Amino acid sequence: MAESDRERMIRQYAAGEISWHTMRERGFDSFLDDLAGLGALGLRQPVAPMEGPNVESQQRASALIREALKAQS
Amino acid sequence: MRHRSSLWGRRRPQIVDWIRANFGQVEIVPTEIYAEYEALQAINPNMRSNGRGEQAALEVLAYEVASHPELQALLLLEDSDIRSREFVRLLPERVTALSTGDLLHELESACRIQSSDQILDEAAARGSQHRKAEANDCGRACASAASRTIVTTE
Repeated sequence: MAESDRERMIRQYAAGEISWHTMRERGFDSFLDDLAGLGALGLRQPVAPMEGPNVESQQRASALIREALKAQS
Repeated sequence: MRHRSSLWGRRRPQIVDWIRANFGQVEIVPTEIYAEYEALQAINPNMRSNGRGEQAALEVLAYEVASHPELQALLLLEDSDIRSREFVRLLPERVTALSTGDLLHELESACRIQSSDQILDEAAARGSQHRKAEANDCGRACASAASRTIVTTE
């Protein structure tokens, strides 16, 4: 894969335009390569908004974590 | 293009070190999915995993949930994948999925970490440093091999 293609994909990934799954399909072997690419470009891993078809699971999981952290404190 | 098997071979010492360092905290379990993948890869080293990681997670979770009736399990997924991956909707009833971002957000809200963004920046910076170090090691090894070749030739 050309370096310009890799950089373009990393920028798209950081902007939330493509997923890690898509990057793997297009030739990224390792998540470390992805992190390294982000770091080299001064970017960070995207954070997904709480929306989409799996949002119910995300909300339940967040509530479980919240309860567990409260119970620990 | 690098083969996944060569990647595993190159990183095996790091993986073994990591398992040793986290012994007792992290459990690595065998799966039928991986055993099948390994057998197929022996025939065709270029074969990619094609979603077998998710299938392996489902296999482990289904087994654990069935074995422990009180278990509530959390599956941590990469942020960009959690929104769209259909397999999240196939998870057993007592398993819920959350993203790295969700987890960091909850930790930040509970004042367990200073800032989610800081953690993500550090992860990216460390990834970059790690790759640079690997490239330097490779450069030194190549230079050393080249000098040995020159000495041998002369």
